[in-house]
Amino acid sequence: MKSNNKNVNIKLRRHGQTYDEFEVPFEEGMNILSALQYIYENLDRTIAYPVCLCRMGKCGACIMQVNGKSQLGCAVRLAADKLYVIETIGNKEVIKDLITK
Amino acid sequence: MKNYNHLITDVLVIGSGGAGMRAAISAHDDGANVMILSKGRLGVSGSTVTACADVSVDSNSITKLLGFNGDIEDSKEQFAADTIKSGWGLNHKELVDVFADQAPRRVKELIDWGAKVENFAISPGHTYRRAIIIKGNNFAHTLARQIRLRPTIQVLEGVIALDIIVKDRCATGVYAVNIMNGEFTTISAKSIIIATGGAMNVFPVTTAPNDLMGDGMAMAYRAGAKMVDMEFQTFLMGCCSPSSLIGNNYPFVLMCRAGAHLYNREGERFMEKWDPERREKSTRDKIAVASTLEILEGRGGRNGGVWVSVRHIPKNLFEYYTEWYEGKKTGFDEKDFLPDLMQDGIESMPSAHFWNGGIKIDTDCSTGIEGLFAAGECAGGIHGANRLSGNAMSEILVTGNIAGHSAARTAASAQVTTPSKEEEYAYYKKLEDMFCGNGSEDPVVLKKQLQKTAWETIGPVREQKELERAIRICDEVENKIPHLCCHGDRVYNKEWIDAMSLANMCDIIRITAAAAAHRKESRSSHYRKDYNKPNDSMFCNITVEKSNGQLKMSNCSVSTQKVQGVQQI
Repeated sequence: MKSNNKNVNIKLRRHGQTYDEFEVPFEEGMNILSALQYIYENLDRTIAYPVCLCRMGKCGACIMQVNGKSQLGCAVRLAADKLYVIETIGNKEVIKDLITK
Repeated sequence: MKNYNHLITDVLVIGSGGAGMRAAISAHDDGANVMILSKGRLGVSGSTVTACADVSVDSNSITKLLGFNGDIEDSKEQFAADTIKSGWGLNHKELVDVFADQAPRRVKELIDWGAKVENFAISPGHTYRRAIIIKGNNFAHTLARQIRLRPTIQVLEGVIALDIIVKDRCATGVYAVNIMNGEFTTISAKSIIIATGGAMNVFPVTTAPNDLMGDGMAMAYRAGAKMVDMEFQTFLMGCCSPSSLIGNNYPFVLMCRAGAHLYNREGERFMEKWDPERREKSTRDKIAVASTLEILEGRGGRNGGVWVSVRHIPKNLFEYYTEWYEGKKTGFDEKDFLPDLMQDGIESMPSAHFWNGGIKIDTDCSTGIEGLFAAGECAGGIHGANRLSGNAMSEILVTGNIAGHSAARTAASAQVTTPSKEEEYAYYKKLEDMFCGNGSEDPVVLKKQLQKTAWETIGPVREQKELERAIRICDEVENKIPHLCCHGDRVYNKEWIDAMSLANMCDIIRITAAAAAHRKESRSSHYRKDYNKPNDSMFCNITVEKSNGQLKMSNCSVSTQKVQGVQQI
């Protein structure tokens, strides 16, 4: 269900350092994981987020900081034309992007 | 020549879901050194944690062994009989007897370890009230706690096994990759237990977590093990829109619990044609076939599905129906992503839910390859053509326990064998070469092509020419694997992980398509458009194995498990 010309902006922290910003076409009812999948498939194959995901709020693997708040990526509904800053939670050592030790 | 990492253990368990954890516990308690490989993290990856989750044992044992309020009219024999009825008689009967006999003790043990029983229910297909409701995450966390109480069990997280190393039909270890740092690790083991679950992610839409790719089944097949009942997959109605809910089973739950209706694009409740009495409460198999035919014949929506609707239900009644469901969730609510259900339907399609067949095992979970055992969903036999509700969760405890004991026994008298440096180098070189920049094939494009092919050919509706096309496409994709091109470095590289899963996907789809092409009839979840009735002459199990590089199929009679005839393709 693509809504014409609307986007969401994802600002992803890379390797615990700089941020990369991606523009993802907005779709009604999308979540952080759908946006990350779009980026991985279409914009940047090197982004890292967990391979094992239940996508339904049960496994907890997609816990991340979204606009400063710890949340499950699967549980965050995205709004059109908004910016989402995504990074790892806490002080865990970052292996790559959203992957921690 | 490069140096790779080397590890040695007695018993190696591949997979850290319920079956793998249960197996590790038994092998450890028998005195073996145990190592568990997990693609993700222990206790939270695999499908156990997501189960909804009824755990079935006979109702007599619920009263007499577990001390709850069951029905003493029931018996283990009746439970086994219901399991076989649900499996269309194709179940491995001795395995079912072992399962029905041991399930109560295994579930009691889990409860003694702290698993929380929420409730009891009677599930479809059961003569008595046998469903013990234990939440999947509680089930998995209980087992994970038992693993942590045994600190000598080594848990390797973020490690993917790639292939089993076989010498003279004996499993001696695995080639593996640590995805956290991209390093190759060769693990030598005296015995190996495969507990990697089903292969539902060969389909584009599945209720299962992303991890379940069929790695273990494909590895066992390449190692020479027989596969059985691979033509039987269970599909149930899951969302095909929005992207956040793809494969989510909420529509199925609404049909079972809230009396949701199912419509095609013409507004017809098409289940009336297929099952006038039960309609949307018909079996999962019938609903999957009917919905797929509606979609294929052009009566689906723009996202490729049909509509599940609760609009006929008063709002305040609907809220009552779904109360129990929301109560199970933490922070995640399907309704946050869906339109107002009092107005709109949910576009839904049959989603791959369970792999009924798998690696052929005997009652000791052995596979016919010395030192190789299988447990849980990746093993075939207990469920026959269709699993009875709630049997998945009790089965992982029973087969996990048996496989753990068997593997420890084998390990006690086996020697460690390591591959030569040349063999090792040859194996890892082709994976390193995926980065060399000479290739032009895109792993993501190929993965999507395979998933699309799987849906079109080995989905709920099948026919000869499409099944042959599936095999052709798998051969084509396999030929492209040496020419893959991945980007970036090897540290947690998703593209490379996708690239390394392609060989497994090709094997799983090819085995399934071959078995489905061989079964020229319709039975349970295996529906052939060109042979749409059951045929008594096909009342047998089909096994598939790799023999001299070729896929070899055999018909095994159900009662004796004896080989009847062999077909090479």
